[in-house]
Amino acid sequence: MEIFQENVNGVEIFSVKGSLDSNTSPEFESRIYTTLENGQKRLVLNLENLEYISSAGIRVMLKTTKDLKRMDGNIVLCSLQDYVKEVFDIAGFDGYLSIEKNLDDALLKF
Amino acid sequence: MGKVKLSITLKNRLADLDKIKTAVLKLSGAIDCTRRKLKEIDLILEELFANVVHHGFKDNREHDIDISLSCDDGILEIRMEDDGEPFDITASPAPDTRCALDKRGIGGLGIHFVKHFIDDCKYYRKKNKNIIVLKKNMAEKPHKKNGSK
Repeated sequence: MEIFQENVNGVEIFSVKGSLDSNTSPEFESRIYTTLENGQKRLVLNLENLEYISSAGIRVMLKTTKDLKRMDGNIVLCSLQDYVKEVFDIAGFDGYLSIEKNLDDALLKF
Repeated sequence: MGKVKLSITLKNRLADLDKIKTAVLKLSGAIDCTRRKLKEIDLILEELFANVVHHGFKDNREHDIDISLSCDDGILEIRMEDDGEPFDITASPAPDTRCALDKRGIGGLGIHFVKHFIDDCKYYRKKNKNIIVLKKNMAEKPHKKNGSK
């Protein structure tokens, strides 16, 4: 897994490449929470290059979504590959999360 | 497609997940299936394995988890054996995926994924071992959400 991070107009964009599984998700969680601790509450997860996700990766996203809601922040996901989208649907996450087709649409949510 | 059989033994530590990834890669070289199917197999194996590692053992000792994959005539059989606490996957309740976000937990999600992506599931408890036997049809089905495809 690789994570590329950039800030565009006050929105922190995480582009995740590869696999979010039981071994890689702790690093992903740590990167997100370092950002939240630095006061950033507006996040985009660009999943264009995320090829695989398991419940370990889903757990991090559920936790982040809940925490940001409490903090009056916001998280938007975008550019999900078919497999990743189906895993989110099976998890029932399509009802909780804001999911956009591409990065431009995701940034318009802020 | 000829008969293919692969067996691996893992220890109850998440680092051994890499052995599953390697086995799935080997399988991809031996059978004719799509990358999508391989991701589903990867997910099934990871969730089964992670579930045993996280919840299967009350002691701090090392345990073996045996996984075998065999594919014959387009049907993949996954067999997993462990000597952990009894866990009947077929009796595990589905998580409430439609409750409010505040009440939503993550428990049971991995097993929910396993059940979604397999076609048959059997559980036995023999000689203090959990034995799970799953079957998955490797033929590509039309996508549920896009019936027109």
